[in-house]
Amino acid sequence: MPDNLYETPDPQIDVDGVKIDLRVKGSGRPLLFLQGIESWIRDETFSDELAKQFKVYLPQNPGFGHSELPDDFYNIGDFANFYLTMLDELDLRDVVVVGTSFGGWIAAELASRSCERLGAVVLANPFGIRISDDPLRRDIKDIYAMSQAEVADHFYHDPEANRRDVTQLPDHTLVAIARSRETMCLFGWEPYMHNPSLKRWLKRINVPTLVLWGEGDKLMSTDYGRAYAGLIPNSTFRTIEEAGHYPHVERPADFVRHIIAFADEPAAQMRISA
Amino acid sequence: MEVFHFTEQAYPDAWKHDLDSLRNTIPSSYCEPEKAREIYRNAQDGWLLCDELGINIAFNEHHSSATCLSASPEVTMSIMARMTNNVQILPIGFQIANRPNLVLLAEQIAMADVISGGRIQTGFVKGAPYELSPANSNPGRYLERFWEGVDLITKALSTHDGPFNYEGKHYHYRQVNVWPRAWQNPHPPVWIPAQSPGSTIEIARKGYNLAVFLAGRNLKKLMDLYKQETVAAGFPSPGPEKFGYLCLCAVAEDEAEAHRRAYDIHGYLRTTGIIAEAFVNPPGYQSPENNAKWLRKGQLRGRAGTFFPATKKDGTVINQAQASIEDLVDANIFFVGTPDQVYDQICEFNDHVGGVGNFVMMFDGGELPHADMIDSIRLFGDKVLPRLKDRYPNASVVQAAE
Repeated sequence: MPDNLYETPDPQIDVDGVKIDLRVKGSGRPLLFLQGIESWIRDETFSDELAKQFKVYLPQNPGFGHSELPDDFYNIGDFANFYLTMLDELDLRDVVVVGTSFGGWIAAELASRSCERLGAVVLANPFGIRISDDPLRRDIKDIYAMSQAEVADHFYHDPEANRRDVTQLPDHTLVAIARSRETMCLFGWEPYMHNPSLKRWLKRINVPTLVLWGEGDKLMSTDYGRAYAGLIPNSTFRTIEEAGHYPHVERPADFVRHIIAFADEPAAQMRISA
Repeated sequence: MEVFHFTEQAYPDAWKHDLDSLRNTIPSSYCEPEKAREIYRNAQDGWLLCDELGINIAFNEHHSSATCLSASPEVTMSIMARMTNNVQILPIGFQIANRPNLVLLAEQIAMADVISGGRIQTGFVKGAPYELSPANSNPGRYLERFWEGVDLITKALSTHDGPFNYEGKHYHYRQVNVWPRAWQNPHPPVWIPAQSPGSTIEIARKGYNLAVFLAGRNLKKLMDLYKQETVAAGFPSPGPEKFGYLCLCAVAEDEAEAHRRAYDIHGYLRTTGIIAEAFVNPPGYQSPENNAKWLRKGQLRGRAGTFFPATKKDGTVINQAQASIEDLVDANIFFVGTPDQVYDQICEFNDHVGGVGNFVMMFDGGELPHADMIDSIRLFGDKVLPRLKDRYPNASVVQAAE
């Protein structure tokens, strides 16, 4: 079980006038790690392992955790533009952008806008597109029609091992959880967890992309992940066994191993080599 | 004093089918259209009797529910606008933050106001959390939409010099021009329900009428706060006509029979909170601070809302869903008994809180037989209402607002 559950304030930085929580770990090639509502769960395994090779940037998205949400944020594209602005302000290059769940959706939106500062993209069980043409079919199960127990059953390969008693956590964590859920709902409610035009623009991602898929994700099928990868030109699809919607939480070692192997491939090496 | 008869038009035959959720998920296969028709017609017959007796009409809006068949208050508003001749008609209210087209709603209100000859009052409700899902209404920024919606509808109803432009944060209309114009000028009275001090302050500062549901003697605190804030905001000191109280009522010639009727009506309180957990608290409906408290309490239950607190005169807190009729009478949630007893209960309560001009009373609920509801309303209209009118003569709400 994680020993750090966002119980104390993170360092904050100001990006384009917006204060967000940002932790930075390690040194080396920059890696921007974007998460969804799971960002309060801080098993440090994956970020510590990544920090051995990368300088890892772990922000709380605007409106998530204790990061500010600008009043004029209107849709998912605002998150993408926000992080592109952050990469500009920090002047980061050859960045590996890793996104999980809602953060994977942001990463896909970001990369389809501009890969100028990116070297590689990793999307793990990302939201963001709709595959089916049948309006009566759900690609992504409706978490807002589930009890909390059902939500856990759908998110995790092993829900029992991931049931966390939040009642003893400090207000700092609980308010962070509540804010994250609220913001994801605000931007994911309708259209439900996708942007109808993203499918069209994924072809613009012109850096090597790895789509990772926790096979035990009961919100979305593995076929959804495969179809997502199929829309990105230079992409690889890999599954992680015994992991659900959050493979970095359930199988951190496997998750990191995949990223490092991918980033070490020649195709994903520094794109702009002298 | 004005009295309204309010009914949710429940469908109790379906209650036995699903013990976990009478809302949102309960299939409509449990609804027989013939039975539903009878429920609607019985409710409307009750309101026609009210029209003769001088009791006003109130109804509301809930969705996907076996506890309330009134999915569209505009339908009832329209029917009653034409079928009645005398009394006020109060949808309490429209869930405006769940509506895609508020200018259409303004047009419907204006039409009904004209058809009724100026007898429409409008309630705008924030809507319970489980009402968002049926409309696919985003819980985020929900209150912003609500207050912007109130502003837009009242502006649409009160503008008579051609189209105006509205490009707000949540609503966009470039040509708002409502025909017909409402009968009442500038627009029908606006009621907004509140349960908390925060909402009460907001309603007071905007000058709208305050409606409070099932608060018992706690109503006094909210009324006092409203009075203070209204004056501070520069409005005249509010009289009883600015206040409405929603409660339950059962009358019979015989006290025991009145209590039997009350037990049936109490079926409303026993069932209204039976909702699947998923729909009880969508993210963003409450503030993060309140949601943090929920998380701390571990409120992950299959049913929610089953605890509606009320306070008895001795300070004991009771749960309205499970309390005895006697306790609910003591707490002024329910007014029950012979005409004399009900008159005394209302007067004692009304004097305690400082004068409510509008009692919105459920004479119907649960499995109460239609004939009993009719008898209860008739007794109230014949033997209670005239005495209340004599005792509280200066509290008519029949006026256009603002």
